[in-house]
Amino acid sequence: MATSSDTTTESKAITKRPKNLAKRKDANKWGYFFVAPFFIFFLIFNFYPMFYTIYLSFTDLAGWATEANFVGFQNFERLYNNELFRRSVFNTTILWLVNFFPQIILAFILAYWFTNRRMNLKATGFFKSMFYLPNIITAASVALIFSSLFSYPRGPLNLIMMDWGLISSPIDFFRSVIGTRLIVSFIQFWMWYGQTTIVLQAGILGIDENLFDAARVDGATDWQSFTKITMPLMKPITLYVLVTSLIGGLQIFDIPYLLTGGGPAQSVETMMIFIYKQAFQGGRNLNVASTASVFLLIMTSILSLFIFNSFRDKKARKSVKGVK
Amino acid sequence: MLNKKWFLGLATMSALTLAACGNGDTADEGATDEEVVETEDGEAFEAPTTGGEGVLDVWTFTDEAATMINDYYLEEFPDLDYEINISEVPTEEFETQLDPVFGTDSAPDVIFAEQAFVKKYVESGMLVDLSQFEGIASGAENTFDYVKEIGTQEDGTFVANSWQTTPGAFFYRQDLASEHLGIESPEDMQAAISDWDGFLNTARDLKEATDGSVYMVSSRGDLNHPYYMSREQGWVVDDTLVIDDQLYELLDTAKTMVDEGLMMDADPQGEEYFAAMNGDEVMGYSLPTWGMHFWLKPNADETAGNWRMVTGPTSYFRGGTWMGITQTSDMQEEAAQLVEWLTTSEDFMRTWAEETGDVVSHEGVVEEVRGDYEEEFLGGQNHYDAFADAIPAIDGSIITEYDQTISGAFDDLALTPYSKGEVTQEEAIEAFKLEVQNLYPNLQVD
Repeated sequence: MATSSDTTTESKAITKRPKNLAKRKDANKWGYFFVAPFFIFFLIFNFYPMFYTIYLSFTDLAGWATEANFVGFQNFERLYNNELFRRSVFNTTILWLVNFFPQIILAFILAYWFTNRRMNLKATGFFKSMFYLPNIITAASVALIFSSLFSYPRGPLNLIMMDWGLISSPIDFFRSVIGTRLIVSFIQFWMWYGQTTIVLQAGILGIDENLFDAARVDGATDWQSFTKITMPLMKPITLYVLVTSLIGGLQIFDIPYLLTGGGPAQSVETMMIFIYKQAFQGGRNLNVASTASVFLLIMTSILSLFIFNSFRDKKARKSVKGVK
Repeated sequence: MLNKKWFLGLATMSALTLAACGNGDTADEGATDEEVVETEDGEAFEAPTTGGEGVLDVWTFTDEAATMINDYYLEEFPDLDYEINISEVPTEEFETQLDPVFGTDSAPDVIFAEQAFVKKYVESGMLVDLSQFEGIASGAENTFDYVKEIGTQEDGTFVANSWQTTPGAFFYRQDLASEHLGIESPEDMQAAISDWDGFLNTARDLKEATDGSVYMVSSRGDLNHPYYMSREQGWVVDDTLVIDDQLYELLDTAKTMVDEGLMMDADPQGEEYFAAMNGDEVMGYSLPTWGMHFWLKPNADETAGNWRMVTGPTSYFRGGTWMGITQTSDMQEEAAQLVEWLTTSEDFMRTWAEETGDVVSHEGVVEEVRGDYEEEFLGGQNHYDAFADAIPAIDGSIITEYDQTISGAFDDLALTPYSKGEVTQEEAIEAFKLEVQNLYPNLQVD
């Protein structure tokens, strides 16, 4: 239907206006029209809330109050002195570090194996999808699976370990600070290493084969070509993985919240859980939640910029674009 | 022809925009589209709705509301010239759904609220004064005082009322008691556990007699509710956090019971907690009126008939549902009629008590029916009579708008870790205070 109306439009336009040029110029404005929905959405659901949040962080809006009074930097000052918030920053950092380093190392190894022509692994496609699978399951289901897996006293893991004689009495994992942190970090690791592997693999495949061939002719070992060619050329893509993982890691919320709600002893209370609790529980302190959000935004920006800069010094490569 | 393109583009855009808006702003135009949302546990439920003009919107978290309204209220008044739209939201999502619209035009006309959070809405100042309605004011004279006290604002305005009272009791296994403790009747049991020292000693006797195979109680959840309700002051007095002496005693009792192996230490309302109702591992549970019907009976089919109830170390109450009318409601008269009938009508109270066994809030009706019960589950004991005895001792003044959050924080950060020996008492109290200060920055903590 659309096509037929288009042709009639065209034929009429042609009869009316003999010059084709004018018509083509006219068509350009449809471009704006078609990108408009995105910008309207962006303005309503991203731009406005962002600035509204920043505005709220300078007010005293909380609880049932409907009017916000300007209070200057008071919220920031209080947040800075807030022990629980500091603890949540610390928790977030720990959770991210413990999940990211094993993740990137394993992903590198896997990506290297998958792309290594000498090893010539079979069924890499199958393994890649298997490794990616945890990422497809929703966080709620993952949290449920792990909480029943580690449940106390009669969870499957406790039963198996007792059966094998590894432990004499069941362990209450979610009552232990280290245990809970490790479990949360492990889940993040397990959910994301497949994704990271695929990104890194794409990066490795983007490297010119001739470089490896030339190195091989010169007598380089596998390890040498990996450290001297692959690693340096992978910098941009590693940077990409690092920054996206950092941003995701700073905003970690679903898994720890669904597993223990931040406990035990606030050990996995992350910044996002802090923000959520401030906004929706207790006194519903929207102002504090907004302030913490603004802080998180600033922190994310500074860390990202820092990482970008520290990589840029060693010369930015064109392959960033090619790979992405 | 240009118009057609404009139209197509606009249609696409508006479709996209509408899809994203959900039913947030469209409430007043009568959004009855059923939107399905999920709770934290992934359980799906329908988003609450408001019906617009001429529809009385009722938001609740309990399925009793639908029963009471559909099977009783609408039977009694079949010719109402308006519709009643009941939205049932799971308890854990109720506040997050209600809070954003409460106080706005999109709010429902009638809300149900549970003891844990009723004060939040009562003190919000956004519920209407019920004493302005003749019927409720006179009807509520028969309502138990503590029920009205909880439904009353600090300045004395009466804004929420309830159809039920929820005294608690200690339910125990008579067969285990006679076998291991030689206690043959509820009277003897009550004598043995009339205070917490007696309770602990009985628990020790039980452990000795059974070599630790039978625990006195299942979890800290059997201790905290009686203790909370025996405090002298609520959580917050004059904007200051109060840690009553009873709470320190609760910490000590719970720790003693865990240390000495007198408590099974299951998670309250967890799998083991319910499983033990059918086993022979746990002597008793602290439960209120509704706890017997909804938790104990369905999980204790194999041990039915062996249970008895006594007051226990302290009289207490737990839970209960109040009803209030929002100030933004444009059908306050109609709403008041509903609240009046459900919370003060003698006829309804009597029928409801007789048909469900619920302990109602009408003093006269309770007096009238209390003699007529014989609960087979309790081996013929009259539970209604026993519950009715406990009502006058209930103190509603210690319920505050902070209860849900602060009690939750106390359970999570002080009671649980301290009783399990993970932290010292000082650390526990510090962690608890820090959390409270964060949840309510305007409170004076310390």
